Amino acid sequence: MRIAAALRPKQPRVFLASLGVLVLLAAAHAIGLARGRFDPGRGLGLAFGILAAAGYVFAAAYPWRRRAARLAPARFWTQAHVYVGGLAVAAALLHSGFVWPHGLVDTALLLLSGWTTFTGFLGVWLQKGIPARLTEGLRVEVLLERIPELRARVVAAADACIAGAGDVLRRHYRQELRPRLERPHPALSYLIEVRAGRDRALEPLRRLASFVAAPDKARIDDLIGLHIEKLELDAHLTLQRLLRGWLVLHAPPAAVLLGLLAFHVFSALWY
Amino acid sequence: MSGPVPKEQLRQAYEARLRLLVPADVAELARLPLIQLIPEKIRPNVIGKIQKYTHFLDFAPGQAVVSAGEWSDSVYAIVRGAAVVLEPAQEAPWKAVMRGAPPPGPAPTSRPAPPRVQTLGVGDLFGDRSALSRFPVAATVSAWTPLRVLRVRLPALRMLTAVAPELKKRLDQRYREETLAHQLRRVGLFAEVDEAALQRLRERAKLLAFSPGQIVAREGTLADSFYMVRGGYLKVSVDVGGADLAVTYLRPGDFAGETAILLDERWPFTLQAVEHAELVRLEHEDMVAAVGDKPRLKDRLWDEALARLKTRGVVARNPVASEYLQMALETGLVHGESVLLIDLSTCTRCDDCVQACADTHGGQPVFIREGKRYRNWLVPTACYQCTDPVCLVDCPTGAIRREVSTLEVTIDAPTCIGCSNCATRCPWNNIVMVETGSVRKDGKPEEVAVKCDLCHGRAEGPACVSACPHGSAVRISFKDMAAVRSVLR
Amino acid sequence: MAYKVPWGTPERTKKLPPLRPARSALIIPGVAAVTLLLLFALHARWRGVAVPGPLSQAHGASEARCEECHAPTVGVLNQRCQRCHDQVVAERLSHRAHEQAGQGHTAAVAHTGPSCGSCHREHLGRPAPLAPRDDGQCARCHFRGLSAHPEFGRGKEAASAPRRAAAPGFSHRKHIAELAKKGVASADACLSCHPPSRETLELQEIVFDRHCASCHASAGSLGMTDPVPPEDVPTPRDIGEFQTTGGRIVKTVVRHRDPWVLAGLSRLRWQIDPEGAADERGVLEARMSVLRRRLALASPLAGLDLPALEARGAALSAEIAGLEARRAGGSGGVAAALGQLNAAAAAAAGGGGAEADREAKQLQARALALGGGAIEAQALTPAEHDERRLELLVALDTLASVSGDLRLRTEDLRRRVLALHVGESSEEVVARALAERRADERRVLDELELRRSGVAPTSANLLARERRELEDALGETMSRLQQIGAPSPEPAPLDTARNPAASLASLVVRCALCHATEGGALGEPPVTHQVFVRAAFVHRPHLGQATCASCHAGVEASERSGESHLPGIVRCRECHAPGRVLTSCQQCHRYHPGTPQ
Repeated sequence: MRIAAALRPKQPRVFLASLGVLVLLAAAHAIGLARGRFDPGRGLGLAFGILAAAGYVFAAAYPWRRRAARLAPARFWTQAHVYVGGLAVAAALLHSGFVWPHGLVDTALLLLSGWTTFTGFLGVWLQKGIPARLTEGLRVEVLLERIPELRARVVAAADACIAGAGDVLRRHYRQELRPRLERPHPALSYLIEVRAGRDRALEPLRRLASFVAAPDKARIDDLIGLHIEKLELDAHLTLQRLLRGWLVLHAPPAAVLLGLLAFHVFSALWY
Repeated sequence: MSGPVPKEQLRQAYEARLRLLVPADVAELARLPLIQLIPEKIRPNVIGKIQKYTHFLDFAPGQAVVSAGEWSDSVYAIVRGAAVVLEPAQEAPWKAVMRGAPPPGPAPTSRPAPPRVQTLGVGDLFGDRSALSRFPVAATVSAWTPLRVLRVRLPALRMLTAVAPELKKRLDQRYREETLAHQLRRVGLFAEVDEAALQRLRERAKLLAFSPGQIVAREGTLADSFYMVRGGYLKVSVDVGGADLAVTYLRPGDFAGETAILLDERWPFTLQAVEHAELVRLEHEDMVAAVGDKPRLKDRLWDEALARLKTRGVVARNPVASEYLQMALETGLVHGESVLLIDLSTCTRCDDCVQACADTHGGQPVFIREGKRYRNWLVPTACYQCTDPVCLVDCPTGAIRREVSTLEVTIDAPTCIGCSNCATRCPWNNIVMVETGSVRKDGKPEEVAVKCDLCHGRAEGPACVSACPHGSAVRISFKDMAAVRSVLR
Repeated sequence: MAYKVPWGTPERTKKLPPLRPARSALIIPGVAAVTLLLLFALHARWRGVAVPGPLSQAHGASEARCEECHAPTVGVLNQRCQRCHDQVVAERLSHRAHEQAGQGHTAAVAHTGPSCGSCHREHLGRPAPLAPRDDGQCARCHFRGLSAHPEFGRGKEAASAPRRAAAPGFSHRKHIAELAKKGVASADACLSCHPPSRETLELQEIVFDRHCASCHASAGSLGMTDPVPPEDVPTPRDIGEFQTTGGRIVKTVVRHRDPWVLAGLSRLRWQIDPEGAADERGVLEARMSVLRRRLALASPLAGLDLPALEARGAALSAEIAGLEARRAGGSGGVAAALGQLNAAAAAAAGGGGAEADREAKQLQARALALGGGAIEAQALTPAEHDERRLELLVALDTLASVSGDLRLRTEDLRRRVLALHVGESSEEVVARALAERRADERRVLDELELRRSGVAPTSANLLARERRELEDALGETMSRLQQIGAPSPEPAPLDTARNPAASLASLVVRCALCHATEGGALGEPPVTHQVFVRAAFVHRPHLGQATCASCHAGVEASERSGESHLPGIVRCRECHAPGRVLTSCQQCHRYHPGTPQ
């Protein structure tokens, strides 16, 4: 599956329908502007605000999607979260009348909404792009929690392989290769290209092949294979950690956003 | 889960049975008329080989040897005593009868058996049909007098049928008389054939056994027989440009070769046994005699032929589906009624499927997101719900069972004593032993077996599929070619 | 032989790996924590958390305390705006449809109208203007753009203005000719009498001393009066200005608003037309009482301290209780008033002369007749209404002159009679008064609550202008009352030879040049009334753009003033069109009028 194809929306009709809704909202806003001064606190502005707040709350209810499994499976709720969340931010922008807010809480709301949306789209991009890259480019498939164990096995296999090797190879192994195999080397370059740095990492071993005898050449081949496996484990480590870790950028600010929203609604009703 | 199950009792019963399953005594074996069917020359050799799969068992009057609904992998031969075969409706009245004292002596003379109950005596066999055809035992066999049986498990049975043609003939006869007719009727072709013709077919059918990998019919050779699968799997493949493309496979009850016979063709595909296969073979002239003069049948045959031609053509154009089928046949996925597959190119490794599985099973997930990988599909170690589950055999407490109406094979945790027979038997390690947290009397931690049970009882279906946020987890059956083609692109 | 990397997961693990703990449960506590934190900050008086933006410059001082404008769970009430902004002016808007509480015929108001906040949005930053400048608000009910504006309804509402006597006529033609003789070109003639004002954007109001005196009152005198009999006029004081001719007095130096002339005028008027004088006096007294009431309202609650506020609150609740009692009495209000009249008549009958006794008995009989018969609760026609009112006023005046003790009661009754409007029964009056007092009470209670919670009173200077205007109006009314004078206690002389009307004519012969005399009253000079009632036109920006004649065509040929010679809206549209001069509703129209009416 090509990576570009992976980024397409899963349900093109839903995507187009959301764009349509967006256009409708913008049109409603334009009409409202033409009719009179725009006020976020009453009339159309208030309607947009209520819509945005409802959308935010719905999007924040995502962690409880499994409780609603009777209505629809989780993939429906995921799509709903993305589309409703995006439309809610648009409604919030329309609610503000495209005027930069003056108050502290309002400015924070706008900035946090923007950040949450941005990280949300970042997450969508990561979740669509990384699995395709992992599947297309790597042979190994591994659970994140097992990577240290498998890395240790690679080291053990390499140790077993090196037994009985010549001095040159043994020295190189001890000084260069084994430290590399032992420690994890996550690198963001794996995000761009899942086989990044492979040639460069294998270069020393390959060059060494011309300086050793025949049995060692076979050993070098095996070591190259093991090194590739270890690099693939590194790629998995980086990318799976990214897949899990981006949520830290998205969920806590969203929780703060909801708190601010609750306060905003309270102060609008109270004052 | 009703009431506390006396686990200790169950464990003791299991251990008692384990003790029972001692290899049979060679000398006693040699004396049996069953064993004496083996040619003398090879008898000691064979006995040596089959010894560990044969056991002598004693039953008190009233005890059941095999119960209806159970899965059996053995044939039983009565050595001494008498037994009755009870339909499920007869079990209760029989129990009432047995409450009186058992009659002395080898034969029931003083107490007549209740009417319409079949009795078995010395030398009679039972349990062979369920062992060979992988169906649950149809009727309970219970001891009438103190009973001694020889239990011959399937590997020994296969060996015996191979070396003792007499035994084979006898078993085949039993099959022929009692089951073949039903199975033939089930084949749509013979549904309209009259009773006399069916009888003739039954008599003339040959019962063959093939070992794994054996070619049954080769593409291009003259098609002069009709095959029906009695047990096991056959692979149907065509030769496309030198490569062997698997088109489909045949399960017990499926058949092949009817169009070839009726239309006088050569075999359009190759038939090969995937594992031990038992086939029923009908010759050309018998087939023609039975169905040749039925015009409606001929039309139906044409439809079937066209459909199959289409399937072969489609597969020839889309070798990918065939590849998946090949993979399924080789790896055993073809056995599954519902196989969980994860599309790695959209799976974000979020473990939501495992988490949902754990939530449904009280905090214990029953599969691991690890397993064989084929192209972009991962096959996690979630039970495949085999058509022919081997894990069902030999459960001492009956904790593992299959719901007959649905697909799921479930394990009832309070009843399971953690003997790990099922876990050991599963060829793909899809059953895992987990610790419950309590400790047994002998100090070892108590374990139970867990496996995927398709979340039976959950209205929305399997939790893994409904919880995947990207729709990467799918459940298909490799028997459904349409699903294979549409899902596994 | 290369080492083959395994395809897929290398050898499955036997143990099920542990599941990650679900962190989604932290969301709810997180949200709650943030909300509570902010609420706590708010409670700890950190207003910045809830303020959606800085206030405009005018309101900046209120930023410290939200309660000055916001009432909890309700929002911004008009009441709070009215702590500083005069509710009297704020309540009277430029058109009946815009009235909020209504200062008059509440029954005619169709709906209660928008709140202050619907147009005036705050919290938009220091430099933001408070009054909306966009025509979109107006376009909600009205139209948009000058091209859709209907023709001016000039002078339609002028009919409701007090009846003015027909003017003798101011001839523009004559005056322009005179100016031309003096060498003023006709183009500049307009501005020589109508120069632009230095204080406002308008032209100067025509004031005799400034604009007319230079020609008409040269040497400080308008001229001489005709001879008048001395008994009809007050005693001359300043001998130098008087002459005696054939037993009659002539004043030689008559200034504008000459006090001696005015005093004689007033005395003669009481003889010629006592009813008219009493009527006008009554109207002026009514106006005075209304102005006094408005002055009282115009003193904002901000100016009162806590005890005074409480006292006013107590007074208001007493008044409300009284009003409710009256309402509960139903049409007995009329009977009660008549009963009081009865009592007054009885008291008058007790003391005073035979004449008074007779009149009192007459009144009593009539009151009893009225009280005994069925009172039909239907509205009087305007003519009947005036007649009846006049009767009552006269009766009250008589009673007042009879005995000083009854003065207070008659005053009160007179005020009530004058406060009656045509077509309004006393029930409507009571209901209206009740509504107004209740609104006032709400304001007082709200202010008390705010004060008690520590909100500082607002500055009383905000209403200085309003007070000043009301005080000016009050003063003017009082001076006019003084001019009119009281009915003289001495009976009219029964000398048939006297002719008060002729004396009056002789007295005001100089004034009659500009002022009309009708029934002894000196009418206002023919000053043009305000043409636009609901809009404001300022001359200054237009003076440089066009000549006077381009809009006021034909004025230089007019013989009588009162005709405005104004063009229609067509003339305005010549310049005020899209693409030429900027046009917005707010240029001419105001939602809140600036001056009390």
